[in-house]
Amino acid sequence: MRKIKVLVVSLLIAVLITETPLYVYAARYGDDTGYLTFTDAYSGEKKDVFVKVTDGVIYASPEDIADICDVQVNNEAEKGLIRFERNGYFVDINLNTGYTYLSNERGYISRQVFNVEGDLAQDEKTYIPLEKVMYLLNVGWQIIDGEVLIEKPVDTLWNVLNEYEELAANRPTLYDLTGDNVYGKSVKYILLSLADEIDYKIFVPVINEWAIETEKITDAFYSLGTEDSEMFGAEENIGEYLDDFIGSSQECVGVLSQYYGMEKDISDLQAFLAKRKGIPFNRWEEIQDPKVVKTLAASKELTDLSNKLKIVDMVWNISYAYNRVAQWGDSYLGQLKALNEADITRFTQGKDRAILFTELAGILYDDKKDLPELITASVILDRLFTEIFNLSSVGRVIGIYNTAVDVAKTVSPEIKGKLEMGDHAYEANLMTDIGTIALYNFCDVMTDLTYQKDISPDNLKEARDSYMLMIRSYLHAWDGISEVKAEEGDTAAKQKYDELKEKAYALSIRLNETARYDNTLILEEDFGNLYNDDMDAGGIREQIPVSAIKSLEEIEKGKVKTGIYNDSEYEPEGAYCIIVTDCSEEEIVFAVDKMEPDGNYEYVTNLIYGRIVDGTVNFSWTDSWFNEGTGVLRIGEDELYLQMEERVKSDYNYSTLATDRERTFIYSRALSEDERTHYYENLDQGDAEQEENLSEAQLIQKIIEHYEAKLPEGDGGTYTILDDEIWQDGDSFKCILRYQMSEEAGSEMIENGVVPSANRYTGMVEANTSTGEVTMDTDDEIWYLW
Amino acid sequence: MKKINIRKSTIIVSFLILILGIMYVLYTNNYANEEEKKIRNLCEKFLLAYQQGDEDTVSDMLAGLNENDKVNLNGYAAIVGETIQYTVKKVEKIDENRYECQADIKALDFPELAEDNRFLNQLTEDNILETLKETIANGEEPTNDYLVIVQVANENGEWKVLMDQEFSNALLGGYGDFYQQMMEEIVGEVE
Repeated sequence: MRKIKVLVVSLLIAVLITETPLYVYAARYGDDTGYLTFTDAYSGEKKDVFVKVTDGVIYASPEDIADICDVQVNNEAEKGLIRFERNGYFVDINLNTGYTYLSNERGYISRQVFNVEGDLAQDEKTYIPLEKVMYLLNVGWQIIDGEVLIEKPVDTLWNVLNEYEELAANRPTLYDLTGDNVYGKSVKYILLSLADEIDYKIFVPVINEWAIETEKITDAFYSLGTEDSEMFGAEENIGEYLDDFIGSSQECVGVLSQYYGMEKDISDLQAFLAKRKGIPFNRWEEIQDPKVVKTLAASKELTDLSNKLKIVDMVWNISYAYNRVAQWGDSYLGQLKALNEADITRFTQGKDRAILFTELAGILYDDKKDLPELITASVILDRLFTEIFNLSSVGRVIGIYNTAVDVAKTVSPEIKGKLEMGDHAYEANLMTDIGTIALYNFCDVMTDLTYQKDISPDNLKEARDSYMLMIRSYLHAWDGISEVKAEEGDTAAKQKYDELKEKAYALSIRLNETARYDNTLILEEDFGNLYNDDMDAGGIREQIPVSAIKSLEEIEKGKVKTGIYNDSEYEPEGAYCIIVTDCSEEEIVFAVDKMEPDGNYEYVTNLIYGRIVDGTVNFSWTDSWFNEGTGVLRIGEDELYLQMEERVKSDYNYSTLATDRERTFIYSRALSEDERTHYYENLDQGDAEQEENLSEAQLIQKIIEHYEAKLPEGDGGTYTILDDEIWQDGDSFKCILRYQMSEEAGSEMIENGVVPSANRYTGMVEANTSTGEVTMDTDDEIWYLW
Repeated sequence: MKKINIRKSTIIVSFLILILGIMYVLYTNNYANEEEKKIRNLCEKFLLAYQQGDEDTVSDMLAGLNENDKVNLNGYAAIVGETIQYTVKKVEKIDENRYECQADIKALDFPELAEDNRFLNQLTEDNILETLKETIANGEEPTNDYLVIVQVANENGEWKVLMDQEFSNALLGGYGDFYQQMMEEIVGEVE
């Protein structure tokens, strides 16, 4: 009888276990709901997100989380599956089991399994824990003024590793060097092409056994650390491969500036920096070297600045430059270390060469340990400090690396002397060998990494360095091969290898740039470092207090609607408008623009962050022509009243945003799309009338005026167009523009024994009298007659 | 009486220790044999999979690959792989994490084929694989016996085959040797 009882109880337990729903959902929907305001640390964009609180945990919908973290989401909540994706990095949540895995296009990132539970609301929608998911998406956040300031990475190491397969598939081989130019040697050279076709996982090529001086190998190692600007033409090509990656971090200055107190005296830079609200998200946002901070504070460039935005811009750029250079130096040493520690068991033939490579890399590593610090200090203090603002946004990244190396050459004459590698084929061969070791070393490192239960900073650094070694050895191998192709006159092949090296170069920059997010990749299965303020232990993440959640009424209260506010008087000389990107009860973010008739922006102020006091905002501004000034914005119902004054006129000034002192511009609510179209149609009609009346004399006058306005100040020269150098055919009007220097300049030249040329040819100008477009064959400018 | 008892128990204890010792030796020997057998089987399984062009099995068994990495056995590797014959001869334990299997692999002799004018005369850039297939189908391909050491390594708790140059060269019918010869020729020109 007792046995039967036991059996029945066991069966009941078994039934209960199997009948328990598999869904791992937390407690049901509670009553605490509301909105959290998120501010993007880079763009300043704000988003209000509906959240709910269950047992003290904040939940949000997968779609809202994807929106604030700027990732894609595939929500199959009915199946209990949710996948987030950021450029090939995946977070897969299984609500049935509660298990969450991280992967990229190459497979699982580690053996880590995270527990994420869903929360079914009364509306049958699924909500998931906001902070945990943001954590897994490598987002950083902190609470500033009751809002959540978030930093979301564009790319991390996990994304960049996705390029590995393409890189390995195109690995440089001996066939790349001999190429199609095989018939001059022997038909059997054709057979080398098979090396490109056989999978590298089963074909381990030999390392060269030919006699080579130790010195030459050391030379090759220097190439791993040098910069490659001389290899490339236009930086635009590289910029293309970097997409929007570079720009994103540069746009955040306006946002950051609002987190610093306005100081009258910024001579004490450290005090200024210390007043920042919140803490830096990563090392790249701070300058750790006190020498650099001291030099910055004492610099004329900084003390001359009166504008907080400019100070933050300068400090931010110097900080990024400093840390980029430090990363570059560190990466160079890391590559040597990776090569030194590479497992060369695979190389049963040519083993002596492989040993030589690894040993020499180790010697050079020991010898150059202090090089990065030396370079960093020199770059910042001697060069970049004054050059940084002359660089374009792409150039700010590429240029910084270039300058770093330029300085490296002077810091280390040894490097300078060894940069000349001599024969390209020789270098290509050497680099192909180093690339071979690098490829298999990377395979080993990544296999070890993916088997880890925890990702540590050391793991990450090892993976990063071995990947960089592979990229840069390929880059230099392709460069050598490209030069060989050029010498052979094979332009098609040269183009192919140039493209490969451009991609590799861009990838090396992306890899360096992602280093600042490495701390956000340090995740723990038990979310032990979910809330963290030590940037070495993980990303910066502050617990979001429930008190930060507001009702909809609170959020809407006192807010000016975002959107475009047009000049209510439709001034014919220009379509000015105010663009409000964000507004709370206390603060407003806006820009003032001038639009051309076709709707393109002619120029624009930087984003203005203003504090609203009694419906009025006093602000300072700078515009895209580098003019500066102050202004007052008054907020009315559906209307904004703006007055601006120019205080500093730029040398490049082509126009100004200053308003007439006598008048206040009134900007009414945003135009609808129809209203806007109608407005521009009217403007176009006005232009058409102007076009019909433009005589040949008027055309000539406009062309001369345009080009004379571009002459340097004080030049005194003039332009002329001769009657017999004008051609008109239908809409096409062509003429030759000639330059006549001033009498003073001419006399000076004669005194110096030089005969000045009169009416010097400047260029052939072509105007389209239908569209108004004007170009000149000797410059790239396109401008319009009306 | 006491003395006799002590002797008896000493003898019994010694006997027991001897028995246990023998059992231990037999056990460890057997265990070692078992493990060696396992490694031999693994090595043979890999070679069979390679011969059959079974990409999944080869990918699973190869060291240094991530879960999603897959070995591509198309083209040249498939044509040559299909013809290999192999015998795993000896398994030797190097340390706790590494074994070496001595294997005899009979496969194409690519360096010799690359010197054969009958083969070379038919070659163009686009027909290498077709010409190779025909040569093998006609039984005209030279072969070679490659005596290789296959390294088997413990990778995160799993025994995996490590692809090294020697093994790769044998599986690809001496292509590694050919590649090296070409490299020396080219580098000779460069120097």
